[in-house]
Amino acid sequence: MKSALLTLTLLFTLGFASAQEDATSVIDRIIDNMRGESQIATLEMTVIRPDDEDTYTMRIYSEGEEKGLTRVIAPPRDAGQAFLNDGDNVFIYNPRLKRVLRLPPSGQSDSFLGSDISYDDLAGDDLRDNFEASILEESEESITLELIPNPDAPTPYGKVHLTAEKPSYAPTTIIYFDQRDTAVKENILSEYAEVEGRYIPQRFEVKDLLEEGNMTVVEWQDADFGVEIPEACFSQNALEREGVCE
Amino acid sequence: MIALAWRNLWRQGRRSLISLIAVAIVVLFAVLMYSMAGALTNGMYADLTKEVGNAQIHTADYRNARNFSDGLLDNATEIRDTVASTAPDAVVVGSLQVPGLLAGEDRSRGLAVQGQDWPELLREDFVTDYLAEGTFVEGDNISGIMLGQSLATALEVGLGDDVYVYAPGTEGYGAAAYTVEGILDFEDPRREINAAYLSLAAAQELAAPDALSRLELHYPDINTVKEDALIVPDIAALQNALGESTEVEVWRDLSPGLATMLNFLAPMMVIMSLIFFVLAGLLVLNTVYLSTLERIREFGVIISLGAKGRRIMGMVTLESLMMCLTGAAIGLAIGLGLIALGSNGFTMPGYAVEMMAEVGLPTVMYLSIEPWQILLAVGFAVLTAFFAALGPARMAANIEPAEAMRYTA
Repeated sequence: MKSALLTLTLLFTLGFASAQEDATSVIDRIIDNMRGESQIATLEMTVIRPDDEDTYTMRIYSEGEEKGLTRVIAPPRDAGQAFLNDGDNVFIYNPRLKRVLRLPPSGQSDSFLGSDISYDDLAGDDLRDNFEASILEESEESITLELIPNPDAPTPYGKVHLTAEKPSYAPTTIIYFDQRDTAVKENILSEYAEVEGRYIPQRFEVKDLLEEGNMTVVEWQDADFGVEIPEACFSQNALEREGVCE
Repeated sequence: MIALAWRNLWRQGRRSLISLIAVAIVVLFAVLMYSMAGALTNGMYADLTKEVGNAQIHTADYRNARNFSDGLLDNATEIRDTVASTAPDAVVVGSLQVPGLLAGEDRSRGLAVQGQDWPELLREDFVTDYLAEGTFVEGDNISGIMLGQSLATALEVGLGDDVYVYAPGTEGYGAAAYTVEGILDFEDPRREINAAYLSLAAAQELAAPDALSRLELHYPDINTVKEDALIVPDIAALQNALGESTEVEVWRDLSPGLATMLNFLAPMMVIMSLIFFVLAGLLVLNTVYLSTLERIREFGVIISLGAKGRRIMGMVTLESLMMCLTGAAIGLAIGLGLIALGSNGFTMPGYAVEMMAEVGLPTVMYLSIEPWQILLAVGFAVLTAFFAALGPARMAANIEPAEAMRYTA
């Protein structure tokens, strides 16, 4: 009897450990899938509002999960603005001010250039570091994870549902819920480019689910993966000086 | 009858005096509580309306606006004209709140920078009450900014230093540098840490040329909640004239929590005073009961001489009534005297005033009392007298003369 109980306990323990490991390894695969070692790309961001539409063209430089520099190159009104992600820090350069400003942590959930994307979204590694993953649904074609924020996670969301295709583990949909369990934002990822066995989305559609007609579409115009980017690109000096990263 | 009751009252003078003083104290507390509730209500009303206006005009459904531009009044000039014709007594203040990042040399903070125009009346009060150092940023100044003292400390800037405002996604320049020209000292620390004031012209250039977030309507002659009823017709006419694309809200809509609290304040004071009257009533009951017990034989004699029970009840009740009304008169006289003294404004001593400011209570209070509140206090005293006398009076009225003769206290 005792040995049967022990076996059951072991089975349950192993079962939980295995499910936990699965969800964690799945989120790792999904996030790794989206990120190349390094990337230089031009992308177009269109901020759509019911009575207005603004389009920004940006050049992005990223190296792994920790470092990224985004520079606005059009329209002329906003050209020259640049954003540096360095670990948990976000720095902003505005050519009109001719200064680099550090975004405080409390401001990192603010809207990026008036879009439906936040500065946190630019950093991108938020989902892996700040959330506990569990498998919500799984089929032959797809897997959906439920991500619950860690108690000390600096996120405004109550939970996140992340769906990815199988077997590529390319993410297709991310739905963000507020603390009252209401879906507030949906991110649809599509047009994947296959780079060295990884599937990297070339189009994001970020929909504000609380305000009909509010949407931001980000499309990659060109992208080079695995290129060497000088270390100096990810410094505050590079924010002010164009050409350091190329 | 009255002379007899008065004489009977003082047969046990010490006991009656204690009850009378108890009633006087309760009446004094009651009128002071009512007047304090009035002072708090009117003080909070005055403080709130001074800061946000008696009413505000916004775009419809502005609370749910998720984008900066959705919350803007683009037809501000037209609205100002409508206000001028519909609510001519109102002083109109245009205000633009710009969400953004405010940075010093090394530190930054996310907040809403406020630009507003300053009619002479508000400007003078603002300068007197809040400007601690430097100069006021006038309407045509587009390079200066005034910061709350604690905000300036947090950003490590002082007078003459530059600060930078970054407001992406807006319709103006979206970023600008300003020189700190004024340091503001607010009693409310939450307000001070978020206080960054530009001129309206500077804020519009930064974020929304010619647009406003809101128009405030200040009525300088309306200073109390009671007087506030006078602006209701203006507000209704204004909403009608402006149509559904704009929303006119009065202070009760702008601060519903405060409005609810103020609605409860006066009833709470009435309930509290009622509890005090019940306690005083027990003391009066004791006095009247003992006085009746001590005079059982006397009542027996009166009844045997032909007095009706109703008359006996009247005698006891009148004694109780005279005791309570005398106490009420004394309490009322002292209370009204104190209210008269406090009607010119008074401030709580020591740290109490700072604590009051921190929780948003007015620091200077003006005591006032309504006639119905005086009547209420006197009414409670009369009811106390009746209820306290009820039992002893019935007991005295039902005495059998023969038994009363045998009674020994």
